[in-house]
Amino acid sequence: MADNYFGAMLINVSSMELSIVNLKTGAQTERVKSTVAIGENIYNHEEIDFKTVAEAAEVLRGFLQIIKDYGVTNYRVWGSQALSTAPNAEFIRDQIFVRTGLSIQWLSLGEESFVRNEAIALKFADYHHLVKKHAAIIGLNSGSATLSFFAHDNLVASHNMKLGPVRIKEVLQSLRATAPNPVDVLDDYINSKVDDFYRFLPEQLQTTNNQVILIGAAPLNNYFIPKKDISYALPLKQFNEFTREVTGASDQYLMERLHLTEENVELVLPEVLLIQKLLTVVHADKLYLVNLNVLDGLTTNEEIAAGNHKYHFENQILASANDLAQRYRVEPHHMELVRHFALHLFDQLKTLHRLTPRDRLLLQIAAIVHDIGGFIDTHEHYLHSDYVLKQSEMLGLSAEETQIIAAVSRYHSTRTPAEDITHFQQLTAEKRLTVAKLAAILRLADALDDAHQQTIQRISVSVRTNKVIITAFSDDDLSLIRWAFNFKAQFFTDVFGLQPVFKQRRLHK
Amino acid sequence: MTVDYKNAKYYTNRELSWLDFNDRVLEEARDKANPLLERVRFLGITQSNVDEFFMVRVASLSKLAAVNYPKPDASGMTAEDQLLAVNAKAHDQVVKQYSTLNRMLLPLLANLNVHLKLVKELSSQQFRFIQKYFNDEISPALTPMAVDSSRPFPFIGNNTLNIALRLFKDGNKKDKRFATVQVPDIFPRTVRLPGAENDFIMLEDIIKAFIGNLFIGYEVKEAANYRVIRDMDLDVAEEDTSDLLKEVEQQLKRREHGGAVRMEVEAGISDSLEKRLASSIKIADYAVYSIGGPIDLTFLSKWTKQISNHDDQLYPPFTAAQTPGATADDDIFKTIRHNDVLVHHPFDSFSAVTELIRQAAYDDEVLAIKMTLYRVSANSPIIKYLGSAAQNGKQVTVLVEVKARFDEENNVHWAQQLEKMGCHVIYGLIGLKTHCKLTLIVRREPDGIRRYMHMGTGNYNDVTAHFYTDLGLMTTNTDMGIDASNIFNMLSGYSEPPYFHQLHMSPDGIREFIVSKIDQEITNAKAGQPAWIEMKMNSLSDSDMIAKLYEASHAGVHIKLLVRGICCLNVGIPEISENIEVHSIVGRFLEHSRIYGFANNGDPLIYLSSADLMTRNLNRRVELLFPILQPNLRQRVFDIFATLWHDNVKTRVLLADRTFTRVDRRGLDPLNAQEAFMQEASNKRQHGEDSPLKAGNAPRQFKPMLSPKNQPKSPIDRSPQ
Repeated sequence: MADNYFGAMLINVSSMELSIVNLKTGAQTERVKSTVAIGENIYNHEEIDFKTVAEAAEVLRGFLQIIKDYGVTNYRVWGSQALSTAPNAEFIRDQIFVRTGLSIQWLSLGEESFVRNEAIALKFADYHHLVKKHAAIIGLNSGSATLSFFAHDNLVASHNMKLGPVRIKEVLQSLRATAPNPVDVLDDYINSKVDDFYRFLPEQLQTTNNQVILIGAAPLNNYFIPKKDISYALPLKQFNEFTREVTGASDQYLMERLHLTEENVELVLPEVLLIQKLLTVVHADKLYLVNLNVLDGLTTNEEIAAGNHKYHFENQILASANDLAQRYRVEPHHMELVRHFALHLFDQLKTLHRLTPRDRLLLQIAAIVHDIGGFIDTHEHYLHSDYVLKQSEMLGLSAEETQIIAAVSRYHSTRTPAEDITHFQQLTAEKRLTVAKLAAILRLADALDDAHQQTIQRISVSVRTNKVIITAFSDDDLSLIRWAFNFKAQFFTDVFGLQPVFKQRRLHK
Repeated sequence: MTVDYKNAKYYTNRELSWLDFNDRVLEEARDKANPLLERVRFLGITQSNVDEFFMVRVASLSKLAAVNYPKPDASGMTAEDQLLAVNAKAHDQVVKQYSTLNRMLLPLLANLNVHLKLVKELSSQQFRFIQKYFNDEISPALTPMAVDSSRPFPFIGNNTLNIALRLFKDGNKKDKRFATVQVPDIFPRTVRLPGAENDFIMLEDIIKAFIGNLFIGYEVKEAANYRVIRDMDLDVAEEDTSDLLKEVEQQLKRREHGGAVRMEVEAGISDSLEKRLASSIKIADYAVYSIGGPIDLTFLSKWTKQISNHDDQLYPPFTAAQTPGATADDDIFKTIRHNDVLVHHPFDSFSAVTELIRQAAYDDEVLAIKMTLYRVSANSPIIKYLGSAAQNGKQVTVLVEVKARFDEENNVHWAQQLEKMGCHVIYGLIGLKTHCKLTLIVRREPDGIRRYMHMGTGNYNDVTAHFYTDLGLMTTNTDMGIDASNIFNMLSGYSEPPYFHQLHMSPDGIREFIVSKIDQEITNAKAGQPAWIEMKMNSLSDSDMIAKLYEASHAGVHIKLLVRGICCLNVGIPEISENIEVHSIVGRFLEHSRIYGFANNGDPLIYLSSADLMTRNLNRRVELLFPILQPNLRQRVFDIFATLWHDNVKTRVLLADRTFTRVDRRGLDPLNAQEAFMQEASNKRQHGEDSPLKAGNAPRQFKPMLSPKNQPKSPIDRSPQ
């Protein structure tokens, strides 16, 4: 009953929000917003002001009171990715904990983007009809824009760009005051950044027309979306007229026209110009404004986790990983086979590793992306995979999960975590164990196609008292694989305490 | 041609209109149809009304006049103009008050052998009594203050009765002295005398008779009563107030020292004494009032309670009807779940509201109670229940408005009390008074969380609910519940939600909404559709709203206004307000409900609100306006309005010449709306008592009382329908 209710709190750069939802019905019971702006200056690499922490703590205590008012016991607090980049983010996190007992969980951009996609899929009725063709979800944050592309009901790619209205405003603040034509400067700045970003998108996307679902565009939402609705199909012509009007208008006029405060009015121009540019590069056919944000995503995600939706979103995470692998030209046949073997081993060895379904997903992603580093250099490619992955914001993964996948990829070949322990320290002991187990499984799976020839079609696994027998079905000569297997099995033995034994069975005698 | 609806000549000055209202109350004291002691009390009410009016309204006028504030009001008068006009009118009213007392009420009381005696009229027994009373009781409480070169004129507190004295040193006519003594407020103003059933004497008359005893060696040449009314306008400088509570407390102390705005002196005071007082107290000539009788008639109300054996001269007692399903034996939550409940106080008992809070305090499934309190009674059961609720582990949030005028001290006290009992208390908002009356109860039910609300037009005050007419709604409407939660979140300092579903909130929201509704009527009228507006409020003074109503009248919208107090709007102005009618009802109960109804092209809409159409309500207060959605209740409110509108006993109609007159009743059956509602309530009550459930000789069965925690859940079905 009250257990059906969930309280989600989100600390953003310029606001804090609470939402209490009924996980069963998806209905929102309470929504509260406070405009305490804790991270106003972080885009200039300044620290979060300690004075605002007291205010933020006060707001959170109020949120806790409201949560108590509804007798809700299941609640969590998240901090936005942008906020987590502040130099003193961890200090702030601790101060908040000391003052309120609440432990902030930092979001990654990939998570923010992912949960928003979930919310749109489940709460925006037109979604299913839109993604049948080519569609793009563009999400605006204060300091970044996320783009997810869909075709034929599937996610094709998801990319994030570190460019958002607040960041643009902060960076260009001084310039705007001195430049003779601030609008042109702003436009040039946005154009160059977006063009730079866009050339790395998959080629087929560069020319595809998209129907655009735009979220997080606050001034547009307030202005165009009718009260009590969550979305509005905004004709491009109307958007362009709006843009023209905004670029020529005074702040005073905008404040009155759009019902904005003085702080927010400076965001309108960067935001509108950024949207205009993004609509051009994605070749927008149609524009839908949707009033759902990360907080809606977080509550939706919780509804899904509570098993109240049958819709699955892991496919989006995997599709995004596939897109990343493609970007670095990973060989698809080997990748597919390793993924298959790794999952087979994972499923058969459940009693040995006792890992969670989420770990299975991480293994699957690692299997897809572990060879990424080969793009830089095939020699010691696993080292390159590690740092490339660490810098890649994969859809739906937390910062920690990205670390895990990077580490699993690093150890998928020859090195072992024990060898370079310092490199490994960012993760907790428990997570290090997960890395070791997943790496051991992946290494074995990788060895089974060491020659990259796909000579083994299938395997079977059986667990004995002190060994694991892996039988490979193949008519080919597997000497190289056997050699590699025996060499790489040592790590598996170290981790699980069982000796993997390789056997070959011929299909045609 | 555009019409200038804001033309000053279409408006009546607000302060003068208020004095007209007080005059209507005074008319009740003169109305022979009212019971005699009630007439005496009405006269007392005119006094407390006018005192408060001077402390606040006239005080702010004189502050504006002091700085020569040049901007005229809606009727085109400057502050200076208003100040003079108000005092002139108030002078006339004083004459009428005292002729009512001296020529009508006191002689009528004398017929009933009730006497207010002078010292010279006392029997010797009675004289001995007051002499002893003075020596034993009064004298120790007196503090005479002499004034001379070394002793400056003392500070005369607001609203205190004093006696000014001229003294001569014995045998030396040249040695003149001046002194003043405050009449203590710890004794009754009217002292009951022995030897008769209802003989009384004024306290100050006793003091004056023996005051010479206190000035040994001096001869009392003259003794005259006087009273000063001061500026009591609480003006909390809130810009950098970290602790609103402390600020209010300090301001209360400072307020006692506001400038004087009115001085009353006993008629027959010598010129020299009057001048001396006026210059010491620093008051203009026009603000000095000569009083032909006891100063400060507020004593009359207490006096009527002292008079024995004349209860027949009071209103017959009235017992309110109980709201079915909202008594201590009912599950009030179930009642509200089934149907919205409308209560019309004082005809429907206020106990329905206190019962809701009580059940919320003890109900296991209630998680939280949130409530706004503006004026709280002395022994408020609501405060008690809120405290119990907190102690029962409910989350109780109470907004106590510490800036509620003249209730500041009381509210500060209750706020601290509530905090001690474990409630979360909000002391109001900086810069705004929170005037809305809203209760929100969050309850856990099998199908999820449900919100129960009570919204009202009047305060959560179980005492005033006996004589203020107010309307209240209890509902579980989901949209209103979300809105109510949002309102409490806003009151807690969070951002305004993007929109409200059903409720409207000032500042801004209510004005915008009412204007949009009037605009709709204007559009409908222009399209030839039926268009009318029915509104009831305490006061109508906001010039923008009045202009809007003029515009509607001009467009052909028929407007009926029930305005009890101030009305700056005028009727019957050609082309401007020919379609507007204004009625005012002053009766046994204080008309206090606010109703806003619209034709809406054949689908009438009705709203209730805590707000009057006054600028302060619409701009500087947190107020609430809520719809009555359930068709039968909506009809009931329209019926209530209709009954009030057709009242022809207590109603005064505003005429084009800006005077109020009684309804011409020739050929009509008299209808006293308040009495009709009382009759209705009595019928309901009788009907309830005769219900077959309680009749007959059914075997008696006692109901043991268990502690609320242990009460079995079975007798009351608490499951949703």
